[in-house]
Amino acid sequence: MKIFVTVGTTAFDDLIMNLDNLDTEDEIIFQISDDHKYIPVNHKYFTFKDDIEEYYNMSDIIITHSGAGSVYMLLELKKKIIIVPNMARIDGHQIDLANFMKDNKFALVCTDIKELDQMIKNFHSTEIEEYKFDPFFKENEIVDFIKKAYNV
Amino acid sequence: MISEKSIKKDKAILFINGTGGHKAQMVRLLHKLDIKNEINGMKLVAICEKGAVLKEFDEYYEVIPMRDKHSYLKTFITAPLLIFKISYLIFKLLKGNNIEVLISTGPGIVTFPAIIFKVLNKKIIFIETWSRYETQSFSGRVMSKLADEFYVQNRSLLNKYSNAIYSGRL
Repeated sequence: MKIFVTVGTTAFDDLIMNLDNLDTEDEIIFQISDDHKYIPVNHKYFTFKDDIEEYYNMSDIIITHSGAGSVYMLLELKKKIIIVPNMARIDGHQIDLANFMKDNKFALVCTDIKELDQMIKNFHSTEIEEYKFDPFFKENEIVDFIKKAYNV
Repeated sequence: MISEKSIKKDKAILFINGTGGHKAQMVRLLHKLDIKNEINGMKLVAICEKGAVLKEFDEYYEVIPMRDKHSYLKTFITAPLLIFKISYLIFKLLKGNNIEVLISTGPGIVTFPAIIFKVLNKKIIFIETWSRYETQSFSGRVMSKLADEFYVQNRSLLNKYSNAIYSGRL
């Protein structure tokens, strides 16, 4: 199986290190951040890039940090994903998003890295719900507000 | 001789956004607003965190992030320097342009420019981050007090902010 791991723009060395040292036959590709301290030694990796979609499409399992940019894009592409919130970040928003996805069963969520191995093994047999959301609908209101502010 | 044209300031909108999700939201917002067509002829100026500049911006300045993602101590050290730099940039931009509106998708670096805008009686639009459902962000907490239009992208946040407008998700 092909596993793709993405951590966005912030280092998540715990996740990368754990998966890089996993006893597995799977092929893993890592997207690591620019401020990483750990570099994978057993699998391929590259640093952050915007055109990441091709990796999403060629992978059987995608493991992502709980950054909203990555998570929403993957769910909009209708990908089944494993979300691992980055607890090292001080602002706590990764767990907020992860809890929402877990409670609604929109994705698999792993809050304990030790359980990730088992979650990968159970990946295909775990059922999830289709992700739905209200697309942004206030664009006209904002444009009118701006025009009014400049009298145009 | 100074021509009339050189004295007249360009109408401009100020955008402030960070990297990662903040940038992704701003990209989507500008696309949704169809900014170049809908707000024809207005200059788009910006203050962004390093690496978060959008191709639509006509004039921009990059700054380091105010909050270190892993350390409160680093935040404590960098914040005052950054506030000084951002204040300078704001006054530079205001001197060269006719800016009436500030739009931001976060992060916290927007709070100081927002105070300046509030004092100068200019308009502020803030969109609280899409990654919050049950908790408030630092910038959201401050900006809900300062913004003229304060949008939340997740319905659950309507309980957290009394003046929030639900916008749907970018």
